[in-house]
Order: sequence, then structure tokens, then C-alpha cells
Amino acid sequence: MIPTRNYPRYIQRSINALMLQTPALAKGVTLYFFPVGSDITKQQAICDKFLNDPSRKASELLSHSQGASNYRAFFPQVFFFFATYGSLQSLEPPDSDRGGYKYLEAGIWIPTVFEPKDANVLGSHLAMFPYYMFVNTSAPLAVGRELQGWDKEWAELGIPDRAFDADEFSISPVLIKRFSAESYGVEGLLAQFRRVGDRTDADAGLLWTEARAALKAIKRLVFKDMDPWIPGLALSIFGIPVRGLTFTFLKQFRDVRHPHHACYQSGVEATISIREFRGLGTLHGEYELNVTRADSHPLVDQMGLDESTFSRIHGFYAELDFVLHTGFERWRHP
Amino acid sequence: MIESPPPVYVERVDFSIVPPALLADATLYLFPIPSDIVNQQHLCETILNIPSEGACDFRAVQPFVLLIFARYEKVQKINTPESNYSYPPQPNDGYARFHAAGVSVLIAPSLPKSDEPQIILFPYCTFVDHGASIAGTRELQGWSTETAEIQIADDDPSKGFTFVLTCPAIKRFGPHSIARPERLIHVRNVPEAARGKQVGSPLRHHLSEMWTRALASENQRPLRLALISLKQFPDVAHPARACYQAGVQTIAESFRNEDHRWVALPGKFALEIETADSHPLVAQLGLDVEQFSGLDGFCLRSAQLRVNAGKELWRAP
Repeated sequence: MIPTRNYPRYIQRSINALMLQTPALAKGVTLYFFPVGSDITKQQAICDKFLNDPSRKASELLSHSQGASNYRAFFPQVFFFFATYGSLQSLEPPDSDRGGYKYLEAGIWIPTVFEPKDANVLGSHLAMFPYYMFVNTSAPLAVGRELQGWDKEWAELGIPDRAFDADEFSISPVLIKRFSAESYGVEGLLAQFRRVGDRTDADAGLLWTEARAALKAIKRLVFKDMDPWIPGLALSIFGIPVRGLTFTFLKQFRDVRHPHHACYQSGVEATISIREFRGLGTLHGEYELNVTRADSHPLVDQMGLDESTFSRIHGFYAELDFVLHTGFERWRHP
Repeated sequence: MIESPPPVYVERVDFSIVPPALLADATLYLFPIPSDIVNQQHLCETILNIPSEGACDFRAVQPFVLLIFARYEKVQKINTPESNYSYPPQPNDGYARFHAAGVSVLIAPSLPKSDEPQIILFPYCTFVDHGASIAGTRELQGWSTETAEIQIADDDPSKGFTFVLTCPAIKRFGPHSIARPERLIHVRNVPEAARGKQVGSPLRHHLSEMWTRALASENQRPLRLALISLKQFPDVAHPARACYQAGVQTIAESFRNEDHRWVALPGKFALEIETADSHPLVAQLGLDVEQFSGLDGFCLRSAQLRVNAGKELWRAP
């Protein structure tokens, strides 16, 4: 365990206040997912750079046992996701009595499994690493980054209101196509999923309200019965209980004196648990993915995205309310 | 006890502007707003002085706060060492163009040192219309920045100037309230007949004198502006506590160049501020709403600013 520090009180301001302290309730959420082929080696390189190596360096400086993190990429796909939030609101007073935010979010998640270095230690679990995260409102952006380490950036997001009308999804952050002294960072289209062909009643999506049956159908329709086992868990990815999900982050802030160093750096995990499950369904038809190659967002190269899988993508969605729980530091730089 | 060296910040391949940074071709509009100095001092105590446990003692020094609207035509990282004041500096990577706005309190330490910057500001609230600036300013300098739609209508001075700031806000707190876009701040030229009590002249004099003194104080060195903030982040396990908390000073320097102009804007201005529970500007700053209709405005044109790495004035253990 990491020794507890006697941290000072966080000074709440009444303007620009962070009003989304955890636990927080997300209501009226629709999550859309598009699995896209990705090189596991590239995924692992990202996990090592942001999750494993910093924890190893921190643990080498400590006298007490903190244990380095060991997150392993194992799935040959990453998940593009898009989300509409009816509201996100703290469950903790006084913020719970003040109000919440309605917003849009998108990103790319890498599925990983956390494996303790010591084989005798229990604790292997599935953990999503949200490597790219985009949000269209500054409050969830700031709270996500500063509280738990969600590496969110601002973007214009195009997300349909309803799954039935889901013809197009888009992410447009501030991007630079080619880095140079004269390049201008401006909002531009980074990734876009478009439904291919006309929508007909024949290919209408399906919606299940029982989670187990839904997963079974999505495994068949979206993943073509691909069913990799999660190393260390002796479970298939479709065999895990559908109660929630754990996320892992590198939480870090630049040092004002030395901006290429961090004044705080830690590995964080946080979970979401489903409060109300309303349904899981497939999206109608097939989608194609277009990605802009930009020096500021090298999605394809960095994540090893398989461009041959950019057409004929099947998507699925979930409608639910969930609770984002208070997280914990798995390690912290001394 | 030997402190371990700070860890390396794990960089993404992205577009982030870290100091030293150049803010080129900046246009800043400043409106002094009469404000109760007791309210200002209360904010200084709560946010700057008390958390420092005696390390800082900042005093609010003017009976007004500065409402600022700014346009930055080119903001980018530079490679020039901080000791080198030559212009133009060497840029790299790319640049951003954006608008910013905010309200700042003019402060001074109770025991000033001889090398104190000429102007010291406590940026009470900051808004930008460029997403890439949010994380940078919040996480490096500790400014309390949020996104907003910022309109600066200044292309035809004969038609007057208009400044509008719209941001997500909650008008009345409640368990079912949702933040919605609100026109929080609106500044516009007013015709002669519509002017209220004329309060601008003393402030105009104050500000002009302060600026002139600052410019005249040092020959070859740039004008130095210090920004003081509370940089803090909530602890993941105990969000009411801060896993990092420090008082931070950032220095912005103004390159001297021939185009640099400090002018008083023609006419008077009227200010409207929306009352919102999430943004209680009037109540917190003790703004005098009766004086909102006859304000002076100033403009700093063609400014070339450089923001350097800052320093921690204190840091919680």
C-alpha cells in the first residue's frame, strides 16, 4: 500500500469551481462503440510508456514496497467510443445540490489486463486505458484530468441524438497536420465514422435489455465470434461479469519551474458501475472510418491501427446510468 | 531529508504550448471596474494568503479590478533562452490563435522586494475560446481557466466596440439544474445620452500613471508582469484534499517594439454581467453595478509578450 499523506484542504472557489467530485452519477447515457483492428505490440508500447515505465521508475526511488504496474495489452482491437451524457453530477454534497453538466465525449480505449509482478499476488483484472479522450465542455475536461488523470482534450464532437439515426460520428480537435514554425493549430476533422449504404428496415439494429444475451449476440454480430482469453484471468473477454469497468491512468501535471518535468505523477485506477441498464444493441449496417493523418494526433501510427479494417466496421451501443467512483493511487512518485 | 528529483513529464505527441512561449501580435482591451477592496482582499486571503501559511501576504491595492478581453494572433513555443531578449525569438512546432478574457485583481506583496515586477495580477477568473489552452494554463500556471465563446467586435471603431463572453453556467443552483450557455459578460460603447455616473477619470489617471511608470522604470529590459495563482489538484482518493498545492508566480514580459501602443478607447462603455450562482462575479468582487454604465476602456495594441517558466512561491508538504 502507498503510505497516506496528510494533504492540505483543496480550496474550493465559487467561480470556475470543479463541481464534479466523485462519486458522480452519469444519467441518460448512450455509449457507442466501434472496434477497430490494432497491433498489440503498438498498444503495449503505449501501455509501457504511460503506465508501466513511470511506475517502475517511481518504485526504484522508494524504500517501501509500492510495486511497479504491469498492464498488458492483449486484444487485437481498440475501441473508438462516443458518448452522450444526459447529465453528470456529483453525488457528494454540496455539489450534488448545485447541478450538473450535459455534454458529449469520445475517445479510444485500449483494453488491458493488470497482472501483478508477483505471481502469488491476486489482483489481476481487466482495465481500460483511455489513451485518447475528447470532450466538448471544459468542466468535465478539467475535473477528469485533475481528479483522476483522464487525459481529455477539447474537441467539437458530432454524435447523433439517437441510435436509430446514427449515420455519422466525428471528432474535431485542435490539430496540426505537419509540425512547423508556420503551422497553425486549428479545429479540424480527425476521425469520422460514416454509415455505408442506405439504411433500410432490413438491417435495423437490435436492442437487448438483458446484458448476458446482449453480449452473446454482440460477440457474434460485431466480433464475428472472436473470443480471446484474458491472460492471467482465465476468462474470455465476454465471460467477465457485466457490472462495471475499471479504468487506468497516468495522472500528472507539469512543473511550473521545469515544464518538461512533473510536479505530481501517479498511477490511478477508477471504476464505473452500472446503476441502471436500459439496453445494449447493435447499430444498423456497416460503417467506414476516415482518419486524418496529423502530426499532433498520430492515431494510425501510434496505435498501430489496421487500415484494412477501416471499412465494414460494425458498431454497438449501450443505454445506461452509471456511477463514476472515487479512485485510488496505485503508485505515486515520491 | 533529500528530495527526489521531479519525474519526467511523459509527453504525448500532441500540440501543447509550454513555456517559454511567445504571444505575438496581442491586442488587449482593459476595463477598470470599480470594486470593493475589502472583497478583493477577502479573495486574496482565501486563495493566496491563508493556504500559504504565512509564506505570502498579498494586498489588493486598487479600488477597481481589471476586466480584460484579449486577442492573441500567434501563440507558440519558442526555443530562445529566457535570458535572451532579442526579437523575434525562434519558434517551433506550430502556433495557435485565440481569444481570452477574464477578471484580474491588482495586488502587491505587503513587503515588496526591490526586484519585484512592475505590475502584479491575481487572475481571479480566466476564459479562453481555444481548447488546447485549457489544460496548459490550468495545469502549469494554476489559472482557473474555462472555455467560453468570446466575441471581440473592434474592426470598425466608428461603430464602437463590443465584447461578449458566453460560457456554460448555472443560473440557480439546484439538484436538477444543468449548466447552459449564458451571456455572462457584455461590454459595449454607450451613446452620450445613455451614460450614467461618470467614474472613469480617476481610474483612467490611475491606470495610465501605473503603466507609464512601469514602462519608464527600466531601460532595456522588457516590461514585466507577474501573475500569482493558487495551483492545486484534488486528490483522487480524497477529493476534498489537494494532492498538490502551491502558490505560483508566472512572469509575462513585453518585448519592446515600435508598434507597441497603449491607448485610451474613445467614449464610455456600459457593462452587463449576468447573475449566475456558478459565476458570482458581482457579489464576490464587490462590483459597483451603479457604475457599470460610464466605464473607461484602454487598449494595448501590437504587444509581443513572452511567458516564461514560473516559480513556486510556496508548496504544501
